[in-house]
Amino acid sequence: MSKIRVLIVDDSPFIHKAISRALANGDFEVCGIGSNGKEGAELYAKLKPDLVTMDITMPIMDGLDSARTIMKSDPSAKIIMLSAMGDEELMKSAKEIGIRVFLQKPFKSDEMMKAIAQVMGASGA
Amino acid sequence: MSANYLEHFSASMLQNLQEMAGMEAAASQPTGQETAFASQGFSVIIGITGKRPGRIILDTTQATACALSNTINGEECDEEFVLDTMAELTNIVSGNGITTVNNANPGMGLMLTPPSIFIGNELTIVSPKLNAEVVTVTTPLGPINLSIGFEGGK
Repeated sequence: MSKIRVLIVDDSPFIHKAISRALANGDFEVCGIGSNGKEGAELYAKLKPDLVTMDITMPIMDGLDSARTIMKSDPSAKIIMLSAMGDEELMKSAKEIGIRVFLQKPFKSDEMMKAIAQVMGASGA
Repeated sequence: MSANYLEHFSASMLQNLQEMAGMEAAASQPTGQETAFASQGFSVIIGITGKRPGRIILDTTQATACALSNTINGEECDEEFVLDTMAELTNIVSGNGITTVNNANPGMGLMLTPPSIFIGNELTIVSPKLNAEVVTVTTPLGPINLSIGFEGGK
């Protein structure tokens, strides 16, 4: 069974490490890491990952704009919005882009697993 | 107004110290802050944008920043990872606090900027256009000051 290839887009190495630790059960492969939204969109086009974890507050391009760019080119992209912010208006903006799964920082490994199950189960979400 | 907001950030700080570091902490009552903020040596600053622009400062000593980072990560951190851990802690505390403020004030639309870190002895941060409030959070690893300021005052 092939591993689920994950692209991490976040400007914090602390979060890169936390996500990598949460995904360390053998079913996942971190195929790329982007440190801002622009890098994230470029890496998505290049790597075609199965799943993206996307921060919101990042330099150069924020996560909402990056997710918008990705969803425009691939409406079936599976993206988990991962942010310290989680207010209703922000979630509404994410939903308008087509994001269905939102995980607020800080997160526990089991919460990340639930979010992944949710987004991978949502066909063309 | 900033004092009311500060309660949300103070609560977020205590909750995240518990969740991320397994640490019990206590917060003082908010007090008014002069325009010049005297740092203990390690400051993380995050800007607030939206209808009430402002800024958040998390300030402590370099020793406490290092010890707290080691506790959060469960291992000895190098200098770069201390900076990153403290930046992310401030981002999470600020983001959770802003979420509560935004949900309680529809249309406010407050957002955060990426964090900046300032390190140095006898560092003073001056915010002449802001009226700020500060709380001191007492932790087993040393005191942490949390300052919230908004343009236009209370």
